[in-house]
Amino acid sequence: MKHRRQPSWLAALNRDASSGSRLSHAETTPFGPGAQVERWRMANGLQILLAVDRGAPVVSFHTWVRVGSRHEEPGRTGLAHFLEHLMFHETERLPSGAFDRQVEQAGGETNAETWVDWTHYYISVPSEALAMAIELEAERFARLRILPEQVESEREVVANERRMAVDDNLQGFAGEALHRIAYGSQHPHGWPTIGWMADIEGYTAEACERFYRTWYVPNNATLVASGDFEPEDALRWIQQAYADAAPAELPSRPVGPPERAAGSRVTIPWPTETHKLFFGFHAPAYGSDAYAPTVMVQDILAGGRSARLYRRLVEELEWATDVSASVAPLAHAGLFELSVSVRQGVEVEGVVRVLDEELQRLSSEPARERELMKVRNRGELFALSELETAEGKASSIGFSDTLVGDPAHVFTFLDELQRIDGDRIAATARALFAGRTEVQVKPSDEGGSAQ
Amino acid sequence: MNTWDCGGVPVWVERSDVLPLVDIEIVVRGGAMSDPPGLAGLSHAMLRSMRRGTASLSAEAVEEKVELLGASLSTSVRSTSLRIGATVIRRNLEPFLELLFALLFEPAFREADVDQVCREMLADLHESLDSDSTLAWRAFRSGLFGRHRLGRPASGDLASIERISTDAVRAHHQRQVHPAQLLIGLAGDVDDQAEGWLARRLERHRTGRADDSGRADDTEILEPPASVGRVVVVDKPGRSQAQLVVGALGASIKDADFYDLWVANAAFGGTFTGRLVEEVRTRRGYSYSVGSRLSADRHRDSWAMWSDPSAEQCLDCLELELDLFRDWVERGPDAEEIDRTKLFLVRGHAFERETPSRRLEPVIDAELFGVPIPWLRDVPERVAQVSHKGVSAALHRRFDAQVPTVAVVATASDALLQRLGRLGLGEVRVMPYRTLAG
Repeated sequence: MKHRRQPSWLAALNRDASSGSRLSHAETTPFGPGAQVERWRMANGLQILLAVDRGAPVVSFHTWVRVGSRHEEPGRTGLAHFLEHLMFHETERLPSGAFDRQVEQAGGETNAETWVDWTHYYISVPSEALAMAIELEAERFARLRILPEQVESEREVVANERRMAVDDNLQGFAGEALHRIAYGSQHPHGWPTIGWMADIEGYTAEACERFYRTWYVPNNATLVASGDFEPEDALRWIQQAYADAAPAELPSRPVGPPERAAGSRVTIPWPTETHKLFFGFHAPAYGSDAYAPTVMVQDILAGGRSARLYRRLVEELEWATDVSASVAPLAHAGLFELSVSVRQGVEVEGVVRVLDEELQRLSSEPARERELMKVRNRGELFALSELETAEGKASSIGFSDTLVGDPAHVFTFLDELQRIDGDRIAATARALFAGRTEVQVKPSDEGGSAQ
Repeated sequence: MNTWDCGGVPVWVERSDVLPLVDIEIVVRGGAMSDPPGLAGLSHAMLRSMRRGTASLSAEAVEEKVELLGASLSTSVRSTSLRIGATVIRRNLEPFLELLFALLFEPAFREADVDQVCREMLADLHESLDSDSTLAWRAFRSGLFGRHRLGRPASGDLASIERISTDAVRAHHQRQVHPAQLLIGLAGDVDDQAEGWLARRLERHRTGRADDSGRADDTEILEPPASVGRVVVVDKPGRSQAQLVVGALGASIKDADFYDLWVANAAFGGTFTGRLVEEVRTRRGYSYSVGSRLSADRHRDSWAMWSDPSAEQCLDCLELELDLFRDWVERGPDAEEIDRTKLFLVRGHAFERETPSRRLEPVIDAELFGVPIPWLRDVPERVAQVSHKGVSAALHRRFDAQVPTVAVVATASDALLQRLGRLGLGEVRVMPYRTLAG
């Protein structure tokens, strides 16, 4: 149940505020038993979500910017992620290094992450340092200085990050190949969030500056505070810090269907002892009705040690050391990924046959009630575990709101799991497994290159 | 925090009803150092075999039950302890604890299950060769500790795993999993009823055991040999970057200068603004991942820094790190670095108290490591007593006489090996990456 409420102190906050920084309360959303999230809006379009929790004297302050790798263009891939790195350097008022130093001197921690749909920054501090955290975030959100020498040094850092996560990393290399063949290299889901190495080598300060000015505007961001703080204080500090941020029109970045039909397959030689199989299936978007049953399909197949594929391939046949599955929570249709580490001396064809049998069985027979119960309980465990800390809670709120406009979507999702039956899962599996792309990694004494 | 003793097993309960979850931590004194000679990996095999059921529960039934109860269960082997960690939805706490204690005290250790575990461990060893970071740390510990027990991987090697038998696993369990060896902690939504249930369950076990006396902790705390400096190159084809681990012997958590070194490490490579991160990453862009760590245990373990530079910049990065380390030891940090780090550690301690499991952890560790609880729990007081002079003295005391040990995972070239040889750190040993499986 959501409702509107305007607290008595709001008028005082807005009395001397500029027209762009006037605050209004939008809604209250229940967030599990005994907790809620308050949504506020500033006139410049900035959204603010506040979740008070007096459990510990700490607070986590997050900025979710609705820009990720899908907002980039071919030839400039990885720019959203690269900008995230630059955001820790210099601003008009802060020399290089001052940002991290201030956070650490307050006893805090700061980091950021970028994916397909968003870029997410956070500062977690003892409660008394919230005002400082807000000031720091507002400063780099509006007044970042992007200098050529910073672009040069950070280019090396990001190139090394790419080598670590992709070029020298079997899973990363295969995963990148899987997305490229599933979507095509010109599709926003077909290029990697970290970017192609050739694009990383070509970034300029001007291109970074343009990207920053285009997307880092208040009407494209949501602030989240979770922890022990006074909402009135937090809003006053936010209002002052973001008063000058001006809204701007955002470019349109439609995401179309994949460029090529599923069904492609590549083989990668790699210095490894055993074969690895990676399969990709086009999956529904995070906010769609089909997402929750897709997660259940994933969990029934490979969610734990009693899951069907793990049970058969790892336990009974001893043909694999591990089986894993995941479904990407993206705003537009993402990829359902299934991977198998094949044991030494085992024929790959046999593993694929078993895999096909299990996908077919799940598509044609309703899952058992015990399996559904396991998935629901596991879902509840993982969802609750994420909410143990102020940082985890703020991440959950910011992520859900950014993707589906509901800060408490984690609870909506758990409710959905309760309603889904075995027939629905079979129907979801049939649609999901209709076509696939495949990457096979074969042992070799050479480095990785897709064939 | 509630503390009580049941049949010789110390139990700590940190209550919090913020979320309907309970974290369970069962610690067994022992660990990889208690593996008999020639049977490295035995503790690991025992823990994995325990999970494969009791007389009335098959391995499949165990896993099914864990997941049906909405629980997660993990095990790990450290140098001087075995850890069983679990989290469960509150409403299923009692049945889950029943399952957990059955696995702990009454495992079936069927021969077929132990054999399967050993085959899995062998397969995992081959899989672990895919991780360059794992290879780097394995090579580093092997180089630093040599033939000492601390140099053996907890997961065993190809030969030692082949030697593990069902009888050996059963005997190890008999020695290790005993009330005198156990520490139990619960954190989260635990009430009087659950505590009462736990006490009765532990009491039942105590009276049910045939022989519960005379088994002392058999983990010798050996002082590792003084480091003489070794360079180990793990040769792997097709690498575009290198994994570097550089370090030396550190300190025991019991040592009086442990906190001096802990603050020193945090100031050097434990934060984004530390000297190591500033010079390696921020200023030169040599590596994305860079940092340093002081291991904490009952024995003197390692201090190490790590990074992953490109293949071309590997040696430049290594030379820089060695220079930074020497300068750090010889001249020490400046007072501003120490003051800044102390502020970070003291103020940031609020996060170490944020969740019930975080509040529980130092209490269990203190008991395990044999130090007073305040030594680990009241960190702000310990850090406040650290002085600039004390830090410098500790760095000299611990590292002056040590030549660093270096592990490099890279595609070995003549140029790389020649330049490594010129560093003056001693013999350069090259190992094909496949040999690290044992």
